Amino acid sequence: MSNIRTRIPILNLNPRARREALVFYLMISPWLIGLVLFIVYPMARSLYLSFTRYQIGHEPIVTGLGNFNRLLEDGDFWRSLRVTLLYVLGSVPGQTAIAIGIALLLAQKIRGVNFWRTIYFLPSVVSAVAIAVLWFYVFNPQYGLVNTLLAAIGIKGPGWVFDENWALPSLILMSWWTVGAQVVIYLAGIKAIPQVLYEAVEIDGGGSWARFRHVTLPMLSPVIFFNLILGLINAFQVFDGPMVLTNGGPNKATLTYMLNLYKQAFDFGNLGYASTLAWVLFLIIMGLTALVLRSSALWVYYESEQR
Amino acid sequence: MSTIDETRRSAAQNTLLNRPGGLHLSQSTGRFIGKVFTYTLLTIGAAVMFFPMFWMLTASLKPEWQILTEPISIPSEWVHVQAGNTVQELPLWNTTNPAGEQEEVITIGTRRYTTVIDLNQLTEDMLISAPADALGETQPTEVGNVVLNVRTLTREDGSQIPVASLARDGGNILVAPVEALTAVASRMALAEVNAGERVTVEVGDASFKGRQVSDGPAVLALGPESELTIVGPKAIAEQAILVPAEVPVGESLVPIGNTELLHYSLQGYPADEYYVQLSSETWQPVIDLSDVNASAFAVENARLSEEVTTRTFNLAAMPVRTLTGEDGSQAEVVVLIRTAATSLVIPVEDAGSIRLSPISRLAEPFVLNIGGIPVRYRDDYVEHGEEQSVAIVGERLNMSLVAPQTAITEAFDVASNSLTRVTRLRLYYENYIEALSKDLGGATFFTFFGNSTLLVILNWLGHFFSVTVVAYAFARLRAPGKNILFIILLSTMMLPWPVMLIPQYEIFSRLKMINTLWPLFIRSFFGNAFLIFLLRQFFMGIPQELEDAARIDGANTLQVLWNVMLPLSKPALATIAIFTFWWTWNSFFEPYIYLSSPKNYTVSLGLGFFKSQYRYTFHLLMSASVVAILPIILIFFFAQRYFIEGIQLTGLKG
Repeated sequence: MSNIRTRIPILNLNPRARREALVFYLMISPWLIGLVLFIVYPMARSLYLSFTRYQIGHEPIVTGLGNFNRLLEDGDFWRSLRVTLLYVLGSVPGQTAIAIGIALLLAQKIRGVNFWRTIYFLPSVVSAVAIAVLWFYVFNPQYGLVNTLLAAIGIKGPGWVFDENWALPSLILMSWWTVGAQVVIYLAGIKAIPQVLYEAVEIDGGGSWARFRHVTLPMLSPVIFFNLILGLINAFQVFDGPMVLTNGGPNKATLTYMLNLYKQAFDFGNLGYASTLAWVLFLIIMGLTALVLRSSALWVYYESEQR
Repeated sequence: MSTIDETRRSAAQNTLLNRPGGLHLSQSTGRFIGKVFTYTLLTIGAAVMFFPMFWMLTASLKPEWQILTEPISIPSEWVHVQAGNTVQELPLWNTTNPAGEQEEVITIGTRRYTTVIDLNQLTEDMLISAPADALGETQPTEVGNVVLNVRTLTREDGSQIPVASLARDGGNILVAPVEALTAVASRMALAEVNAGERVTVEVGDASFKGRQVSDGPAVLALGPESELTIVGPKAIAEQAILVPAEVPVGESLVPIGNTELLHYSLQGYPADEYYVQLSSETWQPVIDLSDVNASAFAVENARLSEEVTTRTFNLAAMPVRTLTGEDGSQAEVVVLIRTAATSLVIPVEDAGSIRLSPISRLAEPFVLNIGGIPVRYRDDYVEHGEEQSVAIVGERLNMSLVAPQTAITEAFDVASNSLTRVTRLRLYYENYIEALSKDLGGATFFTFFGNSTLLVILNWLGHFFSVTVVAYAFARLRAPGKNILFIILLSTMMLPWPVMLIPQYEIFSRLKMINTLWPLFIRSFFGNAFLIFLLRQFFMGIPQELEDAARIDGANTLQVLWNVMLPLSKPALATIAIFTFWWTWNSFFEPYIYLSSPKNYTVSLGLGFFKSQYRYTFHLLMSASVVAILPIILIFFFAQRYFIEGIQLTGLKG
């Protein structure tokens, strides 16, 4: 059966099906063209550029692994990688824990679920820029909300965004504020857990903790897993918040990976080197995602596994 | 597995039915505690989420002083009380009066005090002569009802006592224990001490250079000095009158209430009437701008008489000269503004609206030109609650605001830090006007709004065109390769975008689209993975039969899409519209790299720019932020379920 008709599937169809397939490809053509023009070609091109020296306004010159060698000795690269890893480590687990916590509360039989959900979601609707502008004020050491409240209970607050040691924690705290979308997803996940399972725990004499530990958490683990991956990808590419809140400062304490990439590409015009940075970030994200994916067998519970 | 579940469920039902009463009670108590716990946590969480936004809103409506002094407070303005029949307003303060009640007062002066000891009561056995190195640092400390400069004396046996130093004793310092001093120490006005004659008082071997207070004891001033603010009931302000600064004469100190005040008599007033000075400052003659426009004119100085008389209009002293007309007629005119060659004058009979204004109200005037003479004026001058236009004329004058001493029967003095301004709620909506009209590199926030709105509309067009068509194909049509393409579509949602960034920038750069809006909407005409997936899921839920019926009637694919699918997909289309708005409105990175001149900025980019320009004017920064987020907040309130459903669908199943 290895004739030409089976290898090119569209020729293997009857005229009506062939027509339908043609209409299908015609209809998805905007997306297909966009895919090639704005995703496939750019990815290939930036892969090529990552092996070149390419200044804005000049032609790219292939330098082989030159950019990668430069990367190893680039202090800003390592600094930004460290800042970003710390940010991811602080922001993603924190967001996950807070979002699950809020979702658990909202899943109780409470009055006015919509009201509470609106409030918890509100910060997530607002642009990252507006949030950063607001938190720039909230974190102001003299006139800000945080230090005023701390002063009220007798604590002298730190310099937050102006303090090298506190700028990154400020950024992480800010990220914990926008968990609305995750709350919505976890809430839907919790609501989808069959009530029967909770009743079973009750029969076995388990309390709230047992219900959470043995039913909610395992049943929610696929959702957590999915959110974790999305959160990881987003946190690695964080730009708006650090850009507006601290612009990478003070003394590069919040120079995230994307801020460094932006500076290389658009402040210094090193498009080749910036492409290398982009691909290294791509590989890091893919690697970590694969790691989470492989670890998922250990902690993500799929109902189908036990049937 | 399922059989086990069922057994458990029926067992559960049995227990529920047969539950004994005692257990029931304890469970309901537990549930109540759980409820309280849940609501408490919910409220705390909601406060953390909501309060910063509420705080942002209040800050946007605050005056700047409040941002800097009262970070957590409702927007307020300072309350003033009008002084007599003048336009001056005196600040009103809250304080506690000697009777312990809260009172609204005005300040009428200050008084300096020091701590003194009565030398006549000082005895030899109180005194200790100590070497300087046995004494610690000076620390002003409140002891009894006086403040003393307390030091710690370490005696030879190592014990320590608090003392205050009184005088030098050769190389040593003469001190007395604080305990003993409290009996002889008191607070006294510095002016009173200094008015006393110098005396030397001997106590044992020691001699002290003190002051003999009239009708009192000989005292030794120890310090520390303190300044108290003298305040009085706000009713004093009603009787205030404005006089030229040289009019109050014959200053002397009189006791009023529990304090003392300087009082004056006024030149030209009966000598036995005494007045207290409330303020002394510079005032400026002004005249209604309409009178200037109607009657004032410029003349050459040569046509004005050399001789000048001073005439007073409502306390404002103005130069009056004689103007000789071309026909030889003469008229008296008030010289409003005199320059080297010409003067702006107004006939005396039209000068009735000349009056005085505190100079602080005339800051940053505008300038207009009358006959080559620049006239400074303000069009928002407020007098007795009404806004007017006034021109600034004549010479500045020093004036004193005084009140008759008879009005001040209840003055008292308080520490200045115990005074707080009297405030009342006032929303400074002007902040919004100021923030929105700020010039940001040739653009204002309105420009940014226009750009963002245009982008939203173009992205809507793009998405409605591309997403519907592609989603329909993925939902309904069969074709080889479709599944692989769909998986590719889903995977592009998770693709890190930085790898596409630089070549995309290259493309738009080649197309000469940098610093235009094109890169920010053109891609929406090529679909969006998230929205395609969302709409495809919705299309899959529409029964195939409806479509088949249309097909039988001869409709083609596009007609089916337009006439059958889309009318049934309004909720999904609303979600697409809202997400498109959301992303476009909030997008920052792409506008940031593609746009360079402020006239092309979007709202988010403009807000970031505003922050970089006006970093610490928080009231304006917050006004700008509120305006920037208002559209999306409003949409969220009215169309919340589309946000929620869109996120649930793609979040759970993606």
